[in-house]
Amino acid sequence: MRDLKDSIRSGPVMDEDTTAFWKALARHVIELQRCGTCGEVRFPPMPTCPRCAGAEFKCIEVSGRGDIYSWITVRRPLGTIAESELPCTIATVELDEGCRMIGKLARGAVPSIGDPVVAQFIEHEGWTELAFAPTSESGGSTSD
Amino acid sequence: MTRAAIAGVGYTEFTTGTEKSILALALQASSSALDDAGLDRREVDGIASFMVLHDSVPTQSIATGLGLEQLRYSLDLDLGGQAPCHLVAQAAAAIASGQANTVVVYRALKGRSGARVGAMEFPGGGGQFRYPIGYGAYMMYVAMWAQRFLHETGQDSTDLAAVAMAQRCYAETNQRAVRRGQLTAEDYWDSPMVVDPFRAADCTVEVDGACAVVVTSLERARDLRHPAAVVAAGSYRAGPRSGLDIGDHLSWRDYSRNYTTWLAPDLYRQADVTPDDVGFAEIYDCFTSTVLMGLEGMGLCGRGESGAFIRSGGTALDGRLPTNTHGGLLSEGYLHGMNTVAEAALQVQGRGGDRQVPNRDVCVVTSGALMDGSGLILTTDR
Repeated sequence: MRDLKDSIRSGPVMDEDTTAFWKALARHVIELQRCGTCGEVRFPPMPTCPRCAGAEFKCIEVSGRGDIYSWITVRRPLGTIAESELPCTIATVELDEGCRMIGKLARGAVPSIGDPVVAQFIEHEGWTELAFAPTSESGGSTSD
Repeated sequence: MTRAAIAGVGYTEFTTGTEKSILALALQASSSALDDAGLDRREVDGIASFMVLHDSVPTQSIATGLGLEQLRYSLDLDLGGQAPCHLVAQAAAAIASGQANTVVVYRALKGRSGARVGAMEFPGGGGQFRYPIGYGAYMMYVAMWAQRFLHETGQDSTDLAAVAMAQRCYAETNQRAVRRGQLTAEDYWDSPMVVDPFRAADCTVEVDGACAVVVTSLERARDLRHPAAVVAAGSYRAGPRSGLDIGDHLSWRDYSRNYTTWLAPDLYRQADVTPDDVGFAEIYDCFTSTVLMGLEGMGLCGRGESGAFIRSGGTALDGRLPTNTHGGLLSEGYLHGMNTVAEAALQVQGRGGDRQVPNRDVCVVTSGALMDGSGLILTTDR
């Protein structure tokens, strides 16, 4: 069974359903599946649509823009988040295209539900991390 | 159809470390539950349990350790806190259909000194998007929901604090509870913030230990030592788009409502009762927020009203709906909700001692925190 620390060291375990996503991310493109039957844009990548179970899909490039649906700030070492990374904010972001993704929020940003954010790409050995940063119009402390 | 009931409960001590093996803990709790019911081990022909990422021992080993020669029903689930009510419901269904006569349901783990939940990866395609960025602890997932829940329902940290304080009042007289000291408002606010919006006082406490209940036919239970806690309803329920694993919530649309919203109508219909009939509740509480969400989801409080209800004393022993009368997992210890079911059974049987609820006829019990979970309605033998 894989230990959490392995993921921090070596990045994501890609599989048949997700390799295309990670390859696109390495080019700083967010490529998501859109259902060929109902049009739902989904994440994580998977063989069928969670809304209608349709098996047909197309990969589309999304904007990486959205707003904060929810967030947490880790303030004590927990799991694989080390003391040096604290405080660490992780946001669930609702993209303009309607589906949700998760990523760390840029350090120093004060999170608030509804704040607009945009994707950022952070390079690691062998993989690219998706993160988010507040967009200029948010002013850093608005709420919906 | 044969109706089923919980006839007895068994516990080990809940500790921060033990020299005993997990098998020894599981056998001790199972034997205690049989002794408590007044049943001979030779009457047991079914065993059911659950484990998270291989943190326990399989039912086969309990059958062997109890010297059973007639095991007919065995069920091992790879689930967490969603499982206890689900397993009791499965045991009741097995009894109703004649697959088994008497089933021991247990949970045994070294949650404190052994493998801790959150150190390992759940299988499936969802984890690769969480683990590499450090989003891997169960507390983080529940916190992510809690933040949105509080925002949407107009509640805040004072409502989380109300849960922690109300439950500790019950724990003060519960000898099993690992946290028994008084928890004042000042103590709560002094408790360190771990993951917004959770402070340490919002979190359950991991323990080593085991807990078991014995499910048998109502007819058999009527001949036994204690009054029967009748399984009037039992259901598992996942809401739509429940994700790829326990930590993958990205497809779930509404973090302010968990599985209880979908479970409630199933349970009340099965038992033919309404929320107004419920005398007390035992709501799964790995963290404070799940109590608020559970009370609202089960229709026991209005949307956004659970925190105020608790602050007004509504969940205390003399309130409208005594809730988490053992102090909850927050105070008694994290047996992943098996002890929540056992407490419900004790109360329905009238064995709550100093903390016996006045109206024990109908109880709602829940298991689980997020997209899926299960529940029971236990009643007196009416």
